[in-house]
Amino acid sequence: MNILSLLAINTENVMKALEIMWKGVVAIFIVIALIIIVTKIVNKVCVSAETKHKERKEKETEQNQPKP
Amino acid sequence: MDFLFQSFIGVEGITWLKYLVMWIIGGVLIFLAIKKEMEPALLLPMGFGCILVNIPFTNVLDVGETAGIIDWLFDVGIEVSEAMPILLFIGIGAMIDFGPLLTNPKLFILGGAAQFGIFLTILLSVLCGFGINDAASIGIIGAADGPTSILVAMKLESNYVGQIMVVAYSYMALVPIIQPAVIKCTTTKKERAIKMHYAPQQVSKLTRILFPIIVTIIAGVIAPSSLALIGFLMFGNLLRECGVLGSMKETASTTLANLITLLLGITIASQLRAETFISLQTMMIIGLGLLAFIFDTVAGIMTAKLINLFSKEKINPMIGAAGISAFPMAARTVQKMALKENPSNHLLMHGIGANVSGQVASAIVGGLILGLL
Repeated sequence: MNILSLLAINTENVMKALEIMWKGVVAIFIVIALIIIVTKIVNKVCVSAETKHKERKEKETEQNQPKP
Repeated sequence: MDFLFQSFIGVEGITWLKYLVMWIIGGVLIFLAIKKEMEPALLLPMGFGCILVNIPFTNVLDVGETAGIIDWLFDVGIEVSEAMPILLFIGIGAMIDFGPLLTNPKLFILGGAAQFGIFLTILLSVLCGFGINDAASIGIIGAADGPTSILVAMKLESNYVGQIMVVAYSYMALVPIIQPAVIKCTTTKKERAIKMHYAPQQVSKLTRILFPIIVTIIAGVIAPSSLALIGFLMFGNLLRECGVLGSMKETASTTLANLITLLLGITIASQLRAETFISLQTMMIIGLGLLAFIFDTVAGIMTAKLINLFSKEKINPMIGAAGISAFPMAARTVQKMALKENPSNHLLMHGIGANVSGQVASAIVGGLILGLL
């Protein structure tokens, strides 16, 4: 006989709790992995774009400065 | 005088005893708030409200067809739309700086891992004889996040909403006591002394602006039930990061958050009624809530140790403990412990990174549980 039924525990609820556990853990890590990947990509693109923009501005300022 | 006499003989002695116990509980909450400064913004209104709703024959609760103010606040602010906990998330979002997390997105793993205690507690609660909806609501205490606990318990129509709210907020206040003991039991002195350098890499302003939008879309697509919480949290953060709504950000993080916290505390108290609060189940919820916090802390620490097996740059396992959502108490606790082990080891920024990731992860897990049930 099932130990859970001997202890008067609702087997259906236990199975549901186990289902929530594995599905929940998998889902949270999928969400987190996606957020990490997308954030890293976005940050890389944004930082390089900002650096290029800064360099271009610096060059423009240098060119606009009157030569002695 | 006659009325007073009728009041006393109208209520049985045992009921009066229960009311007395609730007044004492209210007094203890007020004491903890004022004397020990434990989450005073919540425990004080809750403590006072606890006394307020346990005085019989008053007009603060519904009497017949006449609506009582506290019952009305509960119906409108929590039961019908869960507006209060959700709106509070705008304020929390406006307070949070995701910079340390964006600097080291790896810390997100710790925030996710530190939610494992929630699932383990759901299983334990079921084994203790609770129904699956009540068990899930008890498990979410481990989210260490009041608004999420309230939302999940309300949506799942738990029979123990009041107990869950009080236990969730009380344990959040007790993080500086619970976590150091768990950390010491699960880490060695050498591990606690691991030094971590904080080298803030460049995080562009555009990334900071895009981050709340990205998280909202990803969480919303994968776990739609979490969108109310995550969406409002991220909306608050967008107000903070956009740079053009300074006064709105200020209002959200101070006035709005304070106003809702104040009302939330006294509204939650409507669930602290002697008739339902004093029971064996309440004791069990107190025990299970503590276990949820312990499991979360252990899961965070163990994940940090696991990462260390594969990583060149070692993580101080205590950072894993900061992965629970109790913001910013968990990060501060880790910082204090790190300084004790090594006065030159400053882990606050790493702790904050794990802590804010726990905030996001707990809201997502809350939504996931709602979706799965």
